[in-house]
Amino acid sequence: MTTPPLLEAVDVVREYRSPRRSLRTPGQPVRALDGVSLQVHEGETFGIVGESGSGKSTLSRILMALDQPTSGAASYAGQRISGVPERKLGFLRRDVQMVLQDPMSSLNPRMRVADIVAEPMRSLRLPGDHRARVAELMHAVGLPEEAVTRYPHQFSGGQRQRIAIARALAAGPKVVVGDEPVSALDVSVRAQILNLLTDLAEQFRLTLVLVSHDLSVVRYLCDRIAVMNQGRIVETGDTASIYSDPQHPYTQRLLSAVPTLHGDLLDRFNRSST
Amino acid sequence: MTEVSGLVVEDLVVEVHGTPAVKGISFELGRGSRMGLIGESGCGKSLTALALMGLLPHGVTASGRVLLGGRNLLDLSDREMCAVRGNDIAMVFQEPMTALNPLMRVGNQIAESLRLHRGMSRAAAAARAVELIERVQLPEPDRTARRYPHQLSGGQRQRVVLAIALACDPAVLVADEPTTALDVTVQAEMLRLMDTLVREEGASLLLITHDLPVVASICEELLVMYGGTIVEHGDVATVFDSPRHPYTAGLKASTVLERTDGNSRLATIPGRVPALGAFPGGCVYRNRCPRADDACRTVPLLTAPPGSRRRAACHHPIESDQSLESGKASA
Repeated sequence: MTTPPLLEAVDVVREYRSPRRSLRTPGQPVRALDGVSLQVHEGETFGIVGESGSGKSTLSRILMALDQPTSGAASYAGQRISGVPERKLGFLRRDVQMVLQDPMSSLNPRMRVADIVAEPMRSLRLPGDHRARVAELMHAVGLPEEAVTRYPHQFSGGQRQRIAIARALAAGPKVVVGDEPVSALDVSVRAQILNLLTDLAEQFRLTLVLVSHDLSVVRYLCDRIAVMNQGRIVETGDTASIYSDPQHPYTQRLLSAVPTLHGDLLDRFNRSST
Repeated sequence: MTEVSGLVVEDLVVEVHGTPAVKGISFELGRGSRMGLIGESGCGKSLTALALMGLLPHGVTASGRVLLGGRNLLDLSDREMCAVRGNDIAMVFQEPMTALNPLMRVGNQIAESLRLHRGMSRAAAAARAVELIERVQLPEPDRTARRYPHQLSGGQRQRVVLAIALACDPAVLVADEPTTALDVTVQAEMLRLMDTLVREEGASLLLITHDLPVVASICEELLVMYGGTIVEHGDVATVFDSPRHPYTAGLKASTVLERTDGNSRLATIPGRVPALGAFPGGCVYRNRCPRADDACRTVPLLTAPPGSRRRAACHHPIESDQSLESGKASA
């Protein structure tokens, strides 16, 4: 592609210190990300897959400048965002929004839905009629308008995730990053939310970055994916080609471990792990 | 007919503060058989498991019959139930970090049930615990036995929970979402291990999950639960290939994420699971069902067509060569 990437990470390393084991020596550094580079282009749906501890959430936090890399840098629309003070990141906060896994902990239980959804517009001091915008968003995510006066605990898990999505859209972002947005939901609700994300991405021309351990979700939603293992991207490419012809042994192992309705999991897995 | 040593559940009703959450379900789990129980949250799956184990919380009561080895477990006193639980019927929970005692070495936690139920000496129980740790394929059994739960990974902890459950050769193993908290590769290893051990021990398995492919990978029989009732029952492969109940078909369609309609959207079940006590009268699924009509105001019976063992509780079941969309009204 010739257009510059919307989101980019170049050789990002992030080290954490493990807790110290003795009073004299400091804890050993652990590499959560070990030289990760990726590019996400405008309008595409990009998936980051991997198991727990692979570094996928750390990467998504660095792409949103919520965490700083130890070395390397992330940029948004050609502008560097790593190591930049928060007061200069207004453009990023408006353009990039996030949906988290558990809406019960990402929504403030003491705020009414109207205030939750309007908060990004208020904190970014966006002009316009916030109440009308909230009503419009409630409609877009398929919630009744009278829901705005209620509190998060009065909704089911799927509806709460709809509220979190409405909040993410409030500031009119270009990019929405979802960190396991459907992992806590039942299968039937998961399908509803995935359809909603697809609709909204089309309607608002969003670039979606989806972080997930669930290979079937990523396969359905994403155009391109990066497979992560132990802090590195082991394979990246078109979703269809990675699923039909995985090159890296880890990707092959990961794909063969996914159970299917036809119950041949144990055979396939035994073959691939021996 | 099932052998005497299996588990027979007859007309089990579980009430939460007087509201029925499980509405009279019956099934038989033969010795050595592996049964899956699926459904969405709020359908009564976990309450069914807790009722079998005699672990219902305060204010929740069970009635009906749960027969194991000729005894009705629901009639037993707390003290008698303690002797059965962990010995004849054991459970694997979803979250191993809360199922294990964080202040106790894992070897001692496995030995505890052997000392309690088998009256083993401290030394004999400790030795047997190390053997069990080896059976669940944990590395360095001697050293692992002396570790605390926080020193193990999620998959390793779940293996310890499985070792505890299998310590006394239970006739029935109830597993409630045993792999939901695990990564896919760890999940596959754990399923393989459960499959092997249940086969070798000749125990019966009741696997409760909302994840259909997990059931497909290790179970033979399947119960589909919705609104506190069993809506479909049959052999796993046939139920998934050609579900008869519209709810099973809806679950299947929303699980198979590849299948999309004309505008490349996923098939979904309209609406959501009602709150406890808010399910419609008659067929519990009728407010979400594309096939519902006036006949659905009466409760459908769980029946099989002649010459088949596949039971479905539906007035308008899907015939095998007919798709869901060709049903009566669309929602």
